[in-house]
Amino acid sequence: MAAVKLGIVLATRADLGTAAALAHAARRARHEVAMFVMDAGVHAIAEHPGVALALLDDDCELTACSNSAVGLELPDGVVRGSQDDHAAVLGTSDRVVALT
Amino acid sequence: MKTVIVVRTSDPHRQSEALRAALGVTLRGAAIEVVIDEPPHTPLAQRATDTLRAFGHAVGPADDMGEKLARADVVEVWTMTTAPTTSPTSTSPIRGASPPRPRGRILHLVRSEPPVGAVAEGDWVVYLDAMRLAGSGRPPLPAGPIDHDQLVQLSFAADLVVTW
Repeated sequence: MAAVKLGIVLATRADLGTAAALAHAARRARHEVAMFVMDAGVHAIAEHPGVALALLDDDCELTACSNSAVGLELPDGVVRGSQDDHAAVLGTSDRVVALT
Repeated sequence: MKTVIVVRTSDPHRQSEALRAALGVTLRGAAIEVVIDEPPHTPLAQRATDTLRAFGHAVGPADDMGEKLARADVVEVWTMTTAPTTSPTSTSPIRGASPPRPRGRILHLVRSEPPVGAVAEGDWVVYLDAMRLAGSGRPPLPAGPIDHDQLVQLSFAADLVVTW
């Protein structure tokens, strides 16, 4: 299968593991991965920086909603973005999995 | 592009976040339809609802979920942040399966039970908690346990992925 782009939207704590596992699986298949994280999902990556760093090491794009990230320390490499990045992930991905 | 945002939470904060997300998704020109059964619980949710309607996006109750999904390119289902107390299992029948949809096959990732009519004959169903593929819809992989590599395969083999 030709390389395609998987978009993942994460907005819960409970789904962080699923989101990360899906992202790594997509990278093993040589697909691009772009993840937009907001609401409780941002708290999840702040509480589990190792998960976020592993995603970045695996060349996943990782953008957090800056509105949700106020007061939170995020790992280096996580982009503080906006809802425009949310729209971009949905608009540029070949398939989207929303864990919201 | 048509994006459907389904708000399945009565939590005021989550409802506000879902509607904020809906508004955000319009920033690159996507057409939005918000499916929500409850009235806005916060001023932020009310403002987002009013803005979406002012821009011509539909905001209203789920009168025919199957028909809404058939028109969608992307679907976000906003739930409570905590896991449901009674997650459906791979032995739980999906309620109210509807006839095959004319456009595309949907992969349903099930955390909580989908609404009646959301799952059509021919759709594929994966129970996320158990990572188990149901046999319905004649999926391209054997029914039973799957891993995340196979879940990625299924996601791209389907035309749309909806996580309930």
